[in-house]
Amino acid sequence: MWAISVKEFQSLFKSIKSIIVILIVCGASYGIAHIVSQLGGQLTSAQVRDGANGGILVMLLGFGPLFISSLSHNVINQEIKTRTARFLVTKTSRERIVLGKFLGICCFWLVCISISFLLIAFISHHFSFYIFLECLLFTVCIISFVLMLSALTPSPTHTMFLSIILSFVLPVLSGWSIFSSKAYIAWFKYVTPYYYLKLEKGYLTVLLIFAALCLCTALWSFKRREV
Amino acid sequence: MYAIETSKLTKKYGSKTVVNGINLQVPQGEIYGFLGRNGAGKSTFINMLTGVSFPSAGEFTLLGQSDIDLELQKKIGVLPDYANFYDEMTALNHLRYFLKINGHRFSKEHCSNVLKKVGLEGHDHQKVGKFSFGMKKKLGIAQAIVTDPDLIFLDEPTSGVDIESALYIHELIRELQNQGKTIFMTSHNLNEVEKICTRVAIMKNGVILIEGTMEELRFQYQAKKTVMIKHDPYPNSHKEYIQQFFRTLSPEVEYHHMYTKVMLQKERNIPLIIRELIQCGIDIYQVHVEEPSLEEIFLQKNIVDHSQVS
Repeated sequence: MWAISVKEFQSLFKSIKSIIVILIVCGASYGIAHIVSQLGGQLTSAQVRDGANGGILVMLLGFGPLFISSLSHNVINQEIKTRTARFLVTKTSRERIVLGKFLGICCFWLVCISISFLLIAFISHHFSFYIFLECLLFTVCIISFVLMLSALTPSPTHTMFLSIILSFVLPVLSGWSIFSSKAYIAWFKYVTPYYYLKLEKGYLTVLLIFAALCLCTALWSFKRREV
Repeated sequence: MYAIETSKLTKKYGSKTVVNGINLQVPQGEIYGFLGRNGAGKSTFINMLTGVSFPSAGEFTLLGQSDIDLELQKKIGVLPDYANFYDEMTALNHLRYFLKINGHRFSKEHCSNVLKKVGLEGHDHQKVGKFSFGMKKKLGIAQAIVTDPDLIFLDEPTSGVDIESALYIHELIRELQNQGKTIFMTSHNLNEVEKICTRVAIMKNGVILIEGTMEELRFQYQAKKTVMIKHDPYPNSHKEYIQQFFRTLSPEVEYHHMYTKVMLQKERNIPLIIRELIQCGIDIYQVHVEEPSLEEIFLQKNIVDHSQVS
C-alpha cells in the first residue's frame, strides 16, 4: 500500500497540472495574506489573523473540488483503461490499491496546504490550527468523492466531464442551499460537506463520515470491477 | 496437493458462456500448456485464477489455497494478457514497484539479474515507453518471476516476439521448471506447446476438449507413426510381393527408388517389415521412426483446424 501511495504522491508532483495548481494555491495564499496585512490599519488584529488564514479556506471551498478533480479524476479508471491495473491486482489486494492511492493524494494535498499555511504564517505571524484542520478535512472529503467517481465510472473521459461539472455545480448549490430557506433546495446542504464547516467544531466529524462513505463506495465498486 | 485445481469453473458475460464448467488439476512442477484459438476462453480462465476477473460459478484453489490473499499472491507470478506498463517508469523501477507492492524487499542486483535473465540486459534504466512490444513482453515475464514465485501464469508469453526471443523464453521456462516451479501457460501455437510443455489441454468454446501428457494424447488418439526405411532398390521379382505385404499393414505407403515411407498404427509392425525385407534379400541401411506431432494428431482428428497451426 505504501509503495502505491508513494508512487501516487510522486506522480502528482511530477505533472505540469499539479505544479500549476500548487502555484495557484500558494500564490493565492500569499496574495490573500499580503492584501489582508496591507489592510491592517482598517481591521482588528483578530480580523487580520482570521482573514489571512480564512482566505485559503474560502479558496479551497470555491476551487478545491476543481483543483482536486482536475488532478485525480482518473486515479482508478485510468489504471483500468490502460490495463496497468492488471499487474496491480495480481500483486496486492484491491483494498490496498484504493487506500494507497487515497493516501498518496491526501499526502500531496497535505503538503500543498501546509506550504500555503506556512506562507501565511510567515506573513501574518499567525497560524490557525482550526482553519488548517477545516481545510484538510474538506480536502479529504473531496478526494474521497473524486476517488469514488473514478471507481464508479469506467471511462476517464466521463469522469473528467463529470468532475468539471460537479466542481462548479457543487459549491454553487451548496452555497445556495445553506443560505436559502426554500425547502426544495435547503435539504441539499445536509448532503455536502460545506454546511458542516459552518456549524460547531464537533460537526467536523461529519466530514470524516462523508469521506469514509465515499471511500467505502469506491472500495465496493473496485472490488467488483474486472480489470 | 495440486498447483491448480478448479471445479466447475464458469464465466458468463450476460447470456454468453465464455468458460463452461471447467474441472482441471495441474500437478506441481509441470509446464502446463493451455491451447486454443483466440476467443476459446484461455485468457478468461487465467484471469479468473489470478484475480483479474471473477468466476460466475465454480471454485478453484491455487497451491491448496482457495482465498487469494497477499501471502498467496507472493507465491504467484502472473503475466496477464494485454497488460500495460507505466511509460514514464524505467524497467528497473517497474520491478522495484512490483516487488514493493507485493511485500518484498527491493534488491537492485537481483532485479538486474532478472532483467538479464529475460534478455533485457543494459535496459535497466530505459523508460518503458521506448520499449518495443517484444521488450515489454520480456519485462512482463521479468515482473512475473522477480518475486521468485512457486506458480507462474504466462498468458501467451511468446505472442508477438521474434523467433530468437521466443526460443530464449522457452529456455527460460524450462529453467524455471527445473527449479521446481509450476508454469501454466496459454498459447495458440501447437508447436510451441509441444516443444516445452509436459501436459496439455485444448480448449474450444469454453470447454476442455482433451487433456493429458503428450504420451497420453498420442496413445489416446492412436496417432500414426511415420516409418521411413532406407534400402536397396526392390528387385522386380519381389516388387509385387513387397507392395502387397505393405498393403496388409497400412494403406498409406509411399514407394521411392531407395526408400519406403509407411504410416503405421502399431509399432510392433516395424520388426515384421524389417524381417520380411531381409527375407526377400533386400539390404536395409536405415529405419527412422517419426512420432507424430501434436499438430498432426489434432489435424488428423479434426480437433483443431489449419488456422491454429503455425
